[in-house]
Amino acid sequence: MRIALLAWESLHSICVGGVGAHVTELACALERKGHEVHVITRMGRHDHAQYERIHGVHYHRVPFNTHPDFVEEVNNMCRSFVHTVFQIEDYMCAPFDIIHAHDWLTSNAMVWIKQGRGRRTVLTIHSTEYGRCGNNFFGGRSARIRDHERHGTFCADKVITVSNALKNEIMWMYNMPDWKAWVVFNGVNPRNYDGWIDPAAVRRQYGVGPIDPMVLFSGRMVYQKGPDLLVEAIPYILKYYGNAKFVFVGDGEMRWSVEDRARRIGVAHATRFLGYHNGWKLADLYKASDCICVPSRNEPFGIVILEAWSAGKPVVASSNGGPSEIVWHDVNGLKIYSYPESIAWGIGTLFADFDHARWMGRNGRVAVESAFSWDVIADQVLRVYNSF
Amino acid sequence: MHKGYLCLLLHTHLPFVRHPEEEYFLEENWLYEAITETYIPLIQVFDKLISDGVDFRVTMSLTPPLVSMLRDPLLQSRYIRHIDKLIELSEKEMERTGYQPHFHGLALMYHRKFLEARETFVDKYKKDIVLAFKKFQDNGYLEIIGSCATHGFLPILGVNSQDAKAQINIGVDHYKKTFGRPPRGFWLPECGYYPGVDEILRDAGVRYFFVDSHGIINADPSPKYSVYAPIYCPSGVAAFGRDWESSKQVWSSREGYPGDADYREYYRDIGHELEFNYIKPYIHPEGIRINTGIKYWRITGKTEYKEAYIPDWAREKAAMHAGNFMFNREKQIEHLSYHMDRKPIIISPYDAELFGHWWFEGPMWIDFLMRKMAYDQKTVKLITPSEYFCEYPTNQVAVPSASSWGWKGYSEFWLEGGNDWVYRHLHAAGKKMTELAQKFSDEIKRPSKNKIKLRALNQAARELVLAQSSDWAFIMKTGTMVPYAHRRMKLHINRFMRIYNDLTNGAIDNDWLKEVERRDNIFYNMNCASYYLPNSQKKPTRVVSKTIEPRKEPSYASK
Amino acid sequence: MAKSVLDKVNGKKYVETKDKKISPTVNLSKDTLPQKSFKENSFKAPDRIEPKKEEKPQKPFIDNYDLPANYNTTSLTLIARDPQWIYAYWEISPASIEALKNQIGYEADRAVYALRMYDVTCVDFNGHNAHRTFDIDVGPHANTWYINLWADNASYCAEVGLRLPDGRFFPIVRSNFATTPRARPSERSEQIWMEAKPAPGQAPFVIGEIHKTHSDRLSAEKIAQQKKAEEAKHRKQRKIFLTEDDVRAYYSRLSPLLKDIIAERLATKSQDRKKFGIDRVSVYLKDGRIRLDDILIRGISKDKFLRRLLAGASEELVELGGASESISSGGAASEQNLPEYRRRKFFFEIGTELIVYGRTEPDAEVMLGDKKVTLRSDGTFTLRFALPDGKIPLDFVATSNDRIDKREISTAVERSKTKYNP
Repeated sequence: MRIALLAWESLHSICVGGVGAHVTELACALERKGHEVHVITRMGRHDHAQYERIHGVHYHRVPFNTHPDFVEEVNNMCRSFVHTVFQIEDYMCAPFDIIHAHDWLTSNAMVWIKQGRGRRTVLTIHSTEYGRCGNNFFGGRSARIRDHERHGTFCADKVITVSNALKNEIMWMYNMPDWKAWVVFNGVNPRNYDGWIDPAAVRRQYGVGPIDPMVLFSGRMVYQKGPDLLVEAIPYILKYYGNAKFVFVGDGEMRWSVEDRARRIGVAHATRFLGYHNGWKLADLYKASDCICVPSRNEPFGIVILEAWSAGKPVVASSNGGPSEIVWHDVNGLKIYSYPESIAWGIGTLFADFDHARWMGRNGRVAVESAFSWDVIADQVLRVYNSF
Repeated sequence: MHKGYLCLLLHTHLPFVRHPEEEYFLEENWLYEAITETYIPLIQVFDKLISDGVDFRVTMSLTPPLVSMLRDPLLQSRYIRHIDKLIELSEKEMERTGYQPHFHGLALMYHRKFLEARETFVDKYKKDIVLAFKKFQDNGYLEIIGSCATHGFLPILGVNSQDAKAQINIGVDHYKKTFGRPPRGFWLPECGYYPGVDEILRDAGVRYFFVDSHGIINADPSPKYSVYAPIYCPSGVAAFGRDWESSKQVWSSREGYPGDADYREYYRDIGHELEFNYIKPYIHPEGIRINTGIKYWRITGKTEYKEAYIPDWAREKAAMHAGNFMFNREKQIEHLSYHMDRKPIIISPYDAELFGHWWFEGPMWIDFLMRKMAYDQKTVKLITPSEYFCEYPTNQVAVPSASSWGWKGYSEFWLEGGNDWVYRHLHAAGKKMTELAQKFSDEIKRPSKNKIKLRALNQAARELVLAQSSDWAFIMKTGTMVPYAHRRMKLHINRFMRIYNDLTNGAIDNDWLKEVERRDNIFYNMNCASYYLPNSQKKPTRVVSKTIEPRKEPSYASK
Repeated sequence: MAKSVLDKVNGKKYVETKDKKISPTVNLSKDTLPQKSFKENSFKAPDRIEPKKEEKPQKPFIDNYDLPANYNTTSLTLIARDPQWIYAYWEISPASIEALKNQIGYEADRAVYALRMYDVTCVDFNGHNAHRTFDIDVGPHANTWYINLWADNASYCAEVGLRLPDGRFFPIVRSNFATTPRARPSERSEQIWMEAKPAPGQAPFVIGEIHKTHSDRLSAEKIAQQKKAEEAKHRKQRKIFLTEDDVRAYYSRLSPLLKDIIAERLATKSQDRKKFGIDRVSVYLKDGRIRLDDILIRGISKDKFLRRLLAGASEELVELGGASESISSGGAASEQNLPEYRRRKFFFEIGTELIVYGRTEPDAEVMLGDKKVTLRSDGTFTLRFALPDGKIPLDFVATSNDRIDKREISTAVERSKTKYNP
């Protein structure tokens, strides 16, 4: 089968968030199953080739004109994508069986390809504009983006969402029929988190003691992710575990206010704000912590949970959206509500019995290996493709 | 109630290698490696044992050259330079192995190890780790015994009795200056004993020393308890014998613990394996690849193919081996105490370098052993030899036989084809030094205003003791770094002869003397020449002893 | 290093900044500052030789590595190496040789250099009273020798000199005494004892604080025991029955698509199986309850089928999703995944039952095997059994009320193996 993946970001061009990893890994997994996969994405650095075959996947990095207005620029990008796709079909290989677009950024390209040549199209929604705006319907650019999303879900033959919660949200927001939507969870590559490390050696780099209970918050510091809730919960935990430490990895608009708040309530000594990290440093932090906290107010899926499980750590996750579907309470994590007392309860329960926490972490790893690895996800996506 | 005693003896010695004239000197690395891999881990282990409230006893011998090197400011600063480089290298290794799951954890482990070594060295003990050992001794956990001035091999040097006297007395006085109290025990270098040494030791105030097992077994008359109790030499100084069984378990390259498949492999160092340009700043500046101390492989067996080191497995093995050692000692003590009418003492001396440098898990093994001995059994108790005397002040009198713990048990290692040529020079130099000391004895006892003659005499004595070190002969026999040993030997004899000639001719070059004093500054605050004066020892604080009539069995009740 | 650094720290730089201090009342000029004492007192530890690196010595410092060839003495030294080897080295100055040769006279040319060894064990040697002697011809150019001995624990003395062919020996120099060590345990076994007490003031002393004593350790043990008991109690309250397989199974059916994929995989596998005529898997997938009329069973009774299914199907149950929930799972499985098995409307089945009846006195006791048979009020009984393939033994024992009479009847009924076609 010939599959075209349209994505705004990927690991081999520009990677900003989870979508990049998702697209790249999905492409590789599909390729492993014997399909011909083309990824069409933006041009990253100028020394990247326009066409390259990486791990068997054809990468097309496409240039386009910039524009002061972001949405217009995205449309330029989509037009370039369409042009590229047609060129591939005409000159490189036969017509594509599936056009698979990711997020609203490439949905226009998908729509135009369908209108132009009538291919079968699938759209994956990773998050909605409404959710990204903190559950608000703003006007202006936000409204335009919502329109793009609505149009994309209308035109696509199939829509894949990353969780049931997101599917329900799209259904009521964009009036998408139920038969169009498929739920395929996100995945993670557990191999990135393999290997033993000396936790004390990692912790000492950040000023955390070897046997201090350590909680990690990894994600963008924005309202939906709820780092301020975690900060509010810290005093409750410090009361019983005076040497607990809370490490915040990530950057965003809320970062300084959260830091300030930590100072004001007097828990700055127990918090560490590390800024943006990725790569092996982040993997080390996962492996060195005792639990990962996901106190999101709104979370379409929560890849952080999968990353935590790959490292064998339990998760304290809020039951808003994605996490409530994948976390099995008290077996590989604890489901809490996104307000500080509940978060404190979750973390405190975890610290009370570390053996149980370790058991939960092991189960998490089992869960990732059985249901969230990329080969399994690719199987499900293929099932969606085959359902035409 | 415990049935017997175990005395664990760690002998630490390094030859005096200090070259201020060169910025970077390869052989000084011996000291830095020993500090990073042996001394600081041992100090950390002992500190942790004390803070956990575990009662333990270890005997250690710190030889004067090593103590001088550890307290020398130049070498301390060079050590800090060395460890800083290692920390930098380990950080680079952390980055390099970021995505290699097998090795990243190990790189992190080394990074932490080096950082903690630096912290212990600089912050905790203010660059002077001898004070750490002194602290342990003052708190009663450690007993530090003295050794000869520069680890000279006494059976061969003892041809000139003045040489042996000087070596022993300089060693004893240096110990007094460092640790603030006279040494109770003495470690004869390489356990080299000949009848007559004990009298010099008695005059120096030493109560006991150590010999190899056949020194006791072949003693005359034959000792009743063989190596499991000390014997008194006729002069009153006691001799303890090494227990062969416990030594073999640790020393043997085939059956001993260090050769186990899960332990870290010594011979696969990244200094030899990694790409040259990457490792260049961390090896010898001239490009000679040396060991850095970061090793990723484990022994895996008697093959060339090595697998990645897994610290958890190694720790489990170390714990298992510690338990095994303890179990064997228990059985041994039970067996012995059945046959003996007093509590036996097992002496297990080891080179401290074995624990940490050659055998990476050695300090961990000692840690486990101390804890298991304290909590898991009641048969064997750890003890220092002085405490044994408190319980058993009466022992048999016998003359130990001349022996050493070297290869073949006598002096062959230090006196064979490759290194026998040195002794004619050493003995001649010894005689000349005695001659100088007698000739200038007034100068030594009452130094004149212009101290140059006294300085020259003292420096001559220093050069002589440096040349007498048994390490040079040892290196010439083992074959590693032989040119360096040759150079050192010839250098010191040469400097001594020059001073001798200058003194006899009366023309001493002050600048040259100052430079030599700067370079060979061992015992810089001691009047070494005075040890070559006849009757130079002060009245010894004597051990009060009385001989008891020979009888078949002791008539008092033994516990 | 030190001196230049010291200069920087407490020499010029420091003094300069001090100069710049503006304090009108105090006159901080260079002269009034206590420079000297500051320089000398601070940072300089006593008794330390400063290593000077920067200052070049006036004359270059050369290291000489040549050893003197000889010391212009005449001496012979013996060193005992091990029980049977002695090492000897000597130096003979030309002057002594000349003197001796003059003394010998004309026969000096035929004299041979020899090393004469004297065994002087336990002897006050005066030159003649050695136990035994032997000569080694060493030649004029040798100056070291390894001498092999035949006995251990002996003292030796040596002389080097010239020996004339007629046996006269003219020694040049005599050596020291060397005793070889013993190689075997001593034959003497008498015991001499000595008691050595430390001189007053020499008792072992400990400066720091005393370590924990044995009694403290005991209480620590008790504390540890208590803690262990507590932990065990806490752990007893929490028993975990969930296994990794269960977690795996749960997650495999979490996503509906995944559940379908796995079901399909299992189904394709099971089509190979011919053991049972049914596809058990599909039964569970349908809607959980077992519908027996869908199943083409060949003559197996309902309860036996259920038991067999439960016992033997554990593998597939786990693969599908959750051991405990399989029978009653109400998941919405998509119909299209069920494999098509044909359901024919035409059917033919037979069953057999066995009726046994008898009679006896109403108050007697009848046992079938070890089970009691209930009698009607007139003393008759009827029993109905299912009759599957195989043999059913019928052993009846009737006992009268007063236990005097006992009658036994035993028979057996067998149904032969039924054949089906197809």
